[in-house]
Amino acid sequence: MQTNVELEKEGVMNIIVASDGHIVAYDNSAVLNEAAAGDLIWNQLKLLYPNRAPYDTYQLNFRRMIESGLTEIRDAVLTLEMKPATLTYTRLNGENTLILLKLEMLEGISEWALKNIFASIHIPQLLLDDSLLVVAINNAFKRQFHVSDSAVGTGFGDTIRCINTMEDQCGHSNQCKFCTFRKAIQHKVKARETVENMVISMILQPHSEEVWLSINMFPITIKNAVYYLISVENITDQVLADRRIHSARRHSLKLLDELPLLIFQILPNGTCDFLNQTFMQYIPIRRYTFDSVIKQYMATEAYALFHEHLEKGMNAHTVEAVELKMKNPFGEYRTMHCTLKPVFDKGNQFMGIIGMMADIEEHRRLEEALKYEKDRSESANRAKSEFLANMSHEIRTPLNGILGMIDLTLMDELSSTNVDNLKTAKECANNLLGIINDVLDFSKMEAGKLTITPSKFDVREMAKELIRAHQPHAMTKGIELDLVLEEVPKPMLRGDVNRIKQIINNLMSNAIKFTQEGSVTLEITVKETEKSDLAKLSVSVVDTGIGISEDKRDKLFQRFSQIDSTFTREYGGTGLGLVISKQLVMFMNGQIDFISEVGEGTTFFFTIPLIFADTHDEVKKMQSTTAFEEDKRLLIVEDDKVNQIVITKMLENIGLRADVAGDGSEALSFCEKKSYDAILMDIQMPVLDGVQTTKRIRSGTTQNADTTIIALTAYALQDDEALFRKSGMDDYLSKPVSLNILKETLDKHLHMAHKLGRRRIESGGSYRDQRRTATKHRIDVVSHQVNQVFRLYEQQQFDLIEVIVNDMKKGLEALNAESMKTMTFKIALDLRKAQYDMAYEKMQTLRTMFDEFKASVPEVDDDE
Amino acid sequence: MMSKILIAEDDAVSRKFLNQFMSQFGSCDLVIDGYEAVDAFLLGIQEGDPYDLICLDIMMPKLDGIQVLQTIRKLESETLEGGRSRIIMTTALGETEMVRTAFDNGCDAYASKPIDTEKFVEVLGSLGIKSMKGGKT
Repeated sequence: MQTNVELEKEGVMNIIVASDGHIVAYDNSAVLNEAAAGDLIWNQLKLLYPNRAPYDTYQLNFRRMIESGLTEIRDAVLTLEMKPATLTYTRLNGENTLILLKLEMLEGISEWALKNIFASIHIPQLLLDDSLLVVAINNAFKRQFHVSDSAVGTGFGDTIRCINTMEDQCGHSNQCKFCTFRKAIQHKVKARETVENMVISMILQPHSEEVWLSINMFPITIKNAVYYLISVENITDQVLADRRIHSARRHSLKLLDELPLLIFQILPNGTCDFLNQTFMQYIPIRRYTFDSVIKQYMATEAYALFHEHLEKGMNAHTVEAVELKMKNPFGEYRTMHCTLKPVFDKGNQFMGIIGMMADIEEHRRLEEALKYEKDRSESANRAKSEFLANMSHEIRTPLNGILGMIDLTLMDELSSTNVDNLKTAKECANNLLGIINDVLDFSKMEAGKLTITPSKFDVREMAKELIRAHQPHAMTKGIELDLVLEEVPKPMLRGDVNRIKQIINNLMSNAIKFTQEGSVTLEITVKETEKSDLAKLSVSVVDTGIGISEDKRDKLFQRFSQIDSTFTREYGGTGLGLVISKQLVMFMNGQIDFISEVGEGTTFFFTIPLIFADTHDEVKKMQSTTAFEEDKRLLIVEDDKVNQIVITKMLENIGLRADVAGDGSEALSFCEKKSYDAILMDIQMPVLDGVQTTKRIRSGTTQNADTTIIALTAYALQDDEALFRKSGMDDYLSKPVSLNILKETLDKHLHMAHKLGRRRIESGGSYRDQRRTATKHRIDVVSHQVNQVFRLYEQQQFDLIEVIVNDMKKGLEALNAESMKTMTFKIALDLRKAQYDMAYEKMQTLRTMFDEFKASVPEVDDDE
Repeated sequence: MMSKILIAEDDAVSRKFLNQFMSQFGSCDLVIDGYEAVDAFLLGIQEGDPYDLICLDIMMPKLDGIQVLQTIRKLESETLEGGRSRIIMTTALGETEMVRTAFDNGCDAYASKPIDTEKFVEVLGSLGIKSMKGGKT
């Protein structure tokens, strides 16, 4: 069999096939087996290279070869090992029917595969040869730079359409000299080195924006020739984004630098990583000198304190703040407020401490100045309070004389006018005493000297006493005074009953003062609490007075504030009562408040926690009613002549006789001679004062060493009471002494009751009946009032007639009865002048006028 | 001829004192606030028997003494031909400013409380009001 097939090298197989596809012959290197001869070529190829497409391309291609009349066609297949191979079909010379099929295996990663990879890779790539001409470009490159395969064979600049190359047609313009890309590539090509991530900027087309390219280049050798594979990545977007971030960062750094605060960052390893410009300009400090400079500018303790906080922040990751002194550039220590805050990166990794220091020296000085001023004004206020507390007893002493002398004069035979005048004088002196007591209490509170003295008391007794005390005042105003005392199973309480009474007295006086008609009601409840011995005392004082508007609420408990402070104010007073009441309630751990409606009335209420007392002995004591015995001997020690007389007379009044010693030493000599049942001891006396005298009596050997000694003093501070008791006194009475208190105190100590019946204030007539009709028609009211004034006239209650007549005047004014209104005014004027006959005549005239008036108003029925 | 006196004073004790003290100079009417003072003054005029002397407290409810003084002086200038009551202001307010205001508004005298009775008698004398007791007061 003739063949001119050349056997070239291994890996190449030659097969001769007839035109119908049957294998005629194959060479040595053929991998076909014996059975292959005479078989169809496409069957054998399918066996050899089954990785081809599912349809029979081998047969199709062979048929194309036979029918097309082409001398040669090429085909590509993949071997079983996925290695590429080429099939070449060649028509043999003259022989129409014979085909030479040449099968050639490609070595390793073939040029073919390389081409495929090169073409399909998504990064723009081009291949340069040794003379820097483009050999190939891939699809990504074409897309990126908008070029086609025609770029192959041109210079690099042209390929990427570098603006300079385009204008000058070559790659040799002036600008090209500076083309970093060219330079770098040429240099690297010469040195046969690689280029990695070289970033260059270029303008690729006229009037377009600058682009940023990242260049990678490495040489490759293909068939002994050297080529340069270059990847060109457009990273313009990334560069611009980076630039923006960078500029933003620069901006914030600048802000940080310019902030008028000393800012620094300390890394977890303790080194300083950042200092702002302000800090570096403030003192000569740099990152690497941070600690040493800080140490130099801070006092030892401050430096230690700084580090203590810094370490705490480092270890516990807490925010720390500390004030420390640091020198300024002039060597002057300034107070700095230093804040240390831990910082974390995005991954929550601890990045150290960022610190900030601010000069707060001025703040500090201002604060100190303020504090100094505050202390000064507080101490001035205290001094004032102490002064008032001291002054008040100086005021009490002469007042004692006034009250005493009035009492004495009242004991004489006097005309009714004289008695009346003296009673008024006494009332005034008592009012003054009340004011002084208020001022004293207030001063004590201000001076922090207020104390509470608890004792056992019966809440029912207390309530009745309070009502009795206010009854006369309420009566003269025609106001009804009511007591609501709920059933109290355990009436004996332990607390400072005098203070509690003081509070209620204040509230009741106010209620009566600000109520023109209606009633004032005292409501008291005692409740048990969860703790069995703890009681809750609740007290309300309800009035139907003028009320307090909401906007005045804040003013109410303030010192020296009366709601109305104009000239025309209707109600007098020091304005201390409520302040004192509030302070007292608070002092006893209670609460006080009020509800009110203007024109309707006000309710003040407070609660105080107290203790239930054992009732046993108290009840017994209340029942004891023995009389004073005439023979009881008392000693009065008092240097003031007036007071000597006052007290002696008072004791005589109770039925007790007393010796009088003019000073302490005289008292001592009296005590040696005689045994006394009680000694009333003045405190402030010349030579030997009351305290010293008492000490001598107590430590002496006289028969009076155990005698009851009662201090009589114008001192009223609680501290002093302690002093008196310490010196051996049994009790104390503050001047001016009232007859009742003197009796009660002696009663207590001598176990005697007084002979004289306590002067009870009989509860007066109730005006409920008259008031009940207040809401009815005005005429009914006036009609009622007319009858009332005649009744009162018979009872000679002239003060009350004036009250009613004044009410009537308002009613008549509303009825536009001008002449009758004038008549009521005239009646009031007559009553005030005590011209009762003339008043009566006018009352009669008024009645006639009113009857006529009623008759002229037919629809009104007279129900009287 | 007995003088007719009006005492305007809201404090009961002061009123009582002034009433008893002034009674030696004439018949005293007592009023307790500024309104009543004006009412009483008008009543006097209506009845053709105006007050010879009016004692006005300055701090009073409803109308203060200065307002009453102004009102009375105004009414007098409108209704009476030249005749006018003598008015003494009585007050615990002793400030110079207040005294000047009172005189500017036409008061005849000014007495600060507590009232010095001897001086008060002297002032009343200078206003032509003499004690009916005669001699010492």
